[in-house]
Amino acid sequence: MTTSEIEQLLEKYYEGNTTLQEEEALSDFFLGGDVPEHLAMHKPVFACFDEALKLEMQDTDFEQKLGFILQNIKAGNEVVSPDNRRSRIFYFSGIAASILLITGLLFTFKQDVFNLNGKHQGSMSTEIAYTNASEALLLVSGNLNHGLQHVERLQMVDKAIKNMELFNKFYQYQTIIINPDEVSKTSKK
Amino acid sequence: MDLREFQKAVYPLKNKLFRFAQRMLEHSEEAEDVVQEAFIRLWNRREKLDQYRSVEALAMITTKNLCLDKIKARRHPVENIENHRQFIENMPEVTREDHSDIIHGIHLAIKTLPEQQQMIIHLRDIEGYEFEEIAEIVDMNENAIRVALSRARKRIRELLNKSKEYDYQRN
Repeated sequence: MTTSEIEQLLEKYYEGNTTLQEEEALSDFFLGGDVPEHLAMHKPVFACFDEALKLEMQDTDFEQKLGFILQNIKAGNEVVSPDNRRSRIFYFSGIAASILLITGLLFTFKQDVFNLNGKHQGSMSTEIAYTNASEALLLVSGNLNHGLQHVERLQMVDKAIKNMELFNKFYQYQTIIINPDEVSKTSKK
Repeated sequence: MDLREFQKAVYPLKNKLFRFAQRMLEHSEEAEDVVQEAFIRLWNRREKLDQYRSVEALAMITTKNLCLDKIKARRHPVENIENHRQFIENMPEVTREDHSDIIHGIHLAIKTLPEQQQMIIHLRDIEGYEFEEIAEIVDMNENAIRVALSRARKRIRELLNKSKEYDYQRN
């Protein structure tokens, strides 16, 4: 191969356009003895790649050890590498923690709502309490997904529950009906 | 596929997988672990291996994914890329007979490339894969691969030019 052909191939090589055969020709040329002075700078590239291909695994027992592991898998014993085992523990403990958190939250809020319902039997205020509670629960469930930043919004639930306690007091001090529509209806009667 | 068939089909790939993992991880023991894990995964899919066009490509893809996972899980890079850069910047004298320093420099220059380019230049210039095979392994189209390969090769050429200038200054 002439020097000018090599130069052209090199140009093609650096543009990423050579075929495997052309690259092999380049490699043979530069690893061979007679490389002109002005092209000598490219020699280490091909020497480097050639050397890198000689790298081999150090562990001589590798195949034996692997054969043992594979045989065990075949026998149905699942082999989990230590890395994997640790990440699985994290995975499952994450799930467990979130389930606990959600059930915990649901129980605390539900209990409050049930207690309020039990204290007063009037159909009006139970309805209001129910809608308030379901609104509050919807709010909770809607916001749970937004993550920790949004936990602050849970304060709104506290407000809602305070409102319900107010209704409770109103009911005890009798017949002041909260809904203005209802007030107008009863006064007309 | 029984164990002996599997070993016959897959074991010859071990050094190829090892070199690929070593290139990406720069850590022999981790690279060996990755190759072992890759073989275990292939063995777990042994019933389906016939369905794949090329077991070798599948083995390389598995190795690549395991390496990328390892890199992602690292808290500290094994060796600082900045150190590599400094070595390249201050390339030691290059003599015509002994290329070992500049060869080391080329390895480090490859290490400073983006991961995709590292993989591509390794698969092409060291392992001699066709573009079609590389496309399958790195999951990119052939044109993008040529562009990335050209960039990687030119990065090495820059390094060579620098050491050549140094040579001229010395003479």
